[in-house]
Amino acid sequence: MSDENDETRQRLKAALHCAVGRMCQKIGEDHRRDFSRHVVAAIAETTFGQCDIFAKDLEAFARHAKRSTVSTEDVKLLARRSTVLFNYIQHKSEELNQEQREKRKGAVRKRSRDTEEESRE
Amino acid sequence: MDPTEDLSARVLLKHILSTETPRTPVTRSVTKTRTTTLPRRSGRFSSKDAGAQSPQDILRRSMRHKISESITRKSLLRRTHTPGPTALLLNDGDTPRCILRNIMQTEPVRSPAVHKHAESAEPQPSSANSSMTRSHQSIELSGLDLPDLTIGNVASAAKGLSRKRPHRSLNVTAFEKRLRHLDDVGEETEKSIDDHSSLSLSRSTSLSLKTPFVDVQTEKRGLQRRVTRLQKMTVDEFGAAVNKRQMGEVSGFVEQGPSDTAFSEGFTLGLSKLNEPDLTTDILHCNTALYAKPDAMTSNISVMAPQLQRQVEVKQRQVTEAERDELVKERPIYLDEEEDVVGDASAEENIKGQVDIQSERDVAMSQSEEEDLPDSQTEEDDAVGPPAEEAEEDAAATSQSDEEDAVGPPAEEAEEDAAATSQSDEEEVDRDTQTEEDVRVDTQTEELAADSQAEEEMDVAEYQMDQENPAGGDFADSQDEDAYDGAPEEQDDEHVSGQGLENVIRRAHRSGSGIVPITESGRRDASRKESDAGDEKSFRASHEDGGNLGNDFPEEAAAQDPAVEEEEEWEDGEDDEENQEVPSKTPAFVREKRKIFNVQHLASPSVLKNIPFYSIIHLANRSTGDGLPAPKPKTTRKRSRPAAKEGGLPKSYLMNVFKHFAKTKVSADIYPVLKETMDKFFERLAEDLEAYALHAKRKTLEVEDAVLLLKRQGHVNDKVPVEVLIEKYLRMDQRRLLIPVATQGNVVIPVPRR
Repeated sequence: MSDENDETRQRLKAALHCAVGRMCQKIGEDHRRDFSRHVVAAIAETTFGQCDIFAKDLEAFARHAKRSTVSTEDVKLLARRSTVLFNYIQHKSEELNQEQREKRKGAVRKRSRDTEEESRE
Repeated sequence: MDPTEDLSARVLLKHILSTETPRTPVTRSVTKTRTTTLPRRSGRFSSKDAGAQSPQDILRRSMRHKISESITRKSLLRRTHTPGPTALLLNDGDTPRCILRNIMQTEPVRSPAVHKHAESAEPQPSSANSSMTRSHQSIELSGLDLPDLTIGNVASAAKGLSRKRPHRSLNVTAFEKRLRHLDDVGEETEKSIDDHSSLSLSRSTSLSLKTPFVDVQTEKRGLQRRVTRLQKMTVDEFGAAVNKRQMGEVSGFVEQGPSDTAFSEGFTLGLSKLNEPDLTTDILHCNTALYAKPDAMTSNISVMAPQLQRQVEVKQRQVTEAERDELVKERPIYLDEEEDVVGDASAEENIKGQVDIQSERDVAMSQSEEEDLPDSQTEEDDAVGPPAEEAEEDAAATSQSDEEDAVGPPAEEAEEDAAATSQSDEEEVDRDTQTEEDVRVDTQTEELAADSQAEEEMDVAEYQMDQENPAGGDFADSQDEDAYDGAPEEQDDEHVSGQGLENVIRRAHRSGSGIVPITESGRRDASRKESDAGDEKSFRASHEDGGNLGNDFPEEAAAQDPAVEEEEEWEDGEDDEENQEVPSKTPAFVREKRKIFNVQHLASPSVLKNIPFYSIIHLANRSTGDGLPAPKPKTTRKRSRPAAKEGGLPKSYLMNVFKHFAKTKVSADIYPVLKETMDKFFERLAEDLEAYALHAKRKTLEVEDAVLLLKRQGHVNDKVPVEVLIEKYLRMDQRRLLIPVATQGNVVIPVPRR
């Protein structure tokens, strides 16, 4: 079990490292700077640890709200410290909500149309 | 041992036998006594308790007696002298204790006689009773020579053993007295010289054997003294407070006016580092004085303050066991912790009990000592002034709000920064609890600042007026449960008090500007700690605040993060509870809990800004809660009055705590940075707490919010549960609130919720 967990962790870290490397590369191209390997590794490690903390906090927040599912509210609570991030997340969540509403409306309209059609028929 | 003894014993025995035939009863008794009286010697003797013993055994024992305690010998001798010695010996002398008892009962110590007897008895070996005794005597007497030395050794040994007990001397004297009492009957035996010295020694030794008897008494006496003092103080004070309250609040209030000022002064003095020793010593020395003369500034005041606090607390709290208990707890806490703790504890309690009073008192009393003191004082004053009303919650809320309002305005004027910080803090917290805390802090700080340097007279006069007025107003308000109703009245009162406060505050600012910030910070620190013990309700928080502020501040400094928010919560809760405590009969901490629960978070920070602390607390106190519009007018007035910084802790307090935890030299230049950092910390703490509460779709800060904060800060994790922190940092009374304790009868304390 622990071995499996360790293996999973390693794979996750590797994936994260890969993603961080790609992002750093992309940003480096924008600013015409390169990221050394150490920097990328450091960022990856930090991100991994931070993700772990985030997960625990999110779980705590969800439990605090007496929920068993982590929701966007929990994420927002997590990000409130960083204003930029918080705004970004809020924005994104609003967009998501709008999309969902539209989808629902569309689904409702479809259903209503179907019913109407059925009724007509 | 035995062979050698046997040889000598044989010799003696032969001699004895040659003179007289041994008499079994005597021998038996003798042997028994010998055996029993020589517990130390060896098991051999004890094992030989059987009747007839061989002469060798007897001799052995006699020899051993020589070396061993002289007591036994003397007892034997005495017994032989006394009528029916054998009987006594047989019956009573089985155990060394019995023997010693007999010795004690028989003869007083007469050292000179012993020597003479010893000398005279030496040449007389005999086997009969008398002879036995004589032989005993001879043996013993001769042995006395040894025993004189041995006695000394024994006595010294006994003393050495008994030295463990400090009250041994008492035992001896008391014991000897009793002996003398009993000796009247047995003076005959006293003549046995040998016994005297041995008696004295034996007494000492016997005392050592019987130490439990006497020691327990002395111990009890020693213990009782302390306990009774405390209890008496509480009970008496309580009774006096209640009576006074009933008699005439105003009069009592007036009386306390000067004392209140003294309180404030005393508190400030006690709290301030410089004055801490005075306060402590004063507290230690003065227990009964209810009112300190206004003239007696430092010492008297400091003494008065705690006592008055206690009294006030007593008065404030209606006769409820819980309250009393709290008082008792706090008083011992006071005594123990003195300085900061004293103020804190009392302050917290007071705060809880009487918000109303606080406002008034704070104005008059609050001397910038730490928050706790002013809080407590204010509370006390409030309690004293206004008659105990059962609508404490409302009254407290209103009073607090009034106070805060009154304080707010002056404070604003005097300290814009403080107000800003406090306001900002309020904003961040956003919740009633927090606002309450802030308000209270501000008010307290303001009051502190004002009082610290305010003239007593002015304070007293204004205070009295304020107290009287607010008292009436507060109660009316509380009863109406309308901020508006109370507001106008309170406003009026506040104006008066506010003006006085202003003067005081301004003076205080000059003198003790640092005090206010410290108090706030102290409170915050306390709250921080409380956050650690998040479970504790406001009550604990208040206590913790006080206690934490005093004692835990250093700790808090280290663990600033977790506690800040909680502190604020607690403070608010405390205030609520304290206010509520006076009239209501429910325990303070329960009320605080309710307060915390009932505290309503204000929706917008802007609203918070406009609303003074008192109003927030007022809202919080009201379970129904919505008094946003009402407090506004009050706020403006109060803010203008107190000049105390709303957001700052006293500088000395901050520096002290920081230095304590830094463990190195700390330059004074760090203060501005430190203060800024601390303010930020508290702000963030309050914000987080508020966010957590909102996240749970609640408007009241809860214990779990504080716990969550602790988790986020890393103080509580998988390895360290909250309970550990609670047990580590909180006092027992606080811990009891947070951690359920199972008691007899399937009763769990506190009553588990949901």
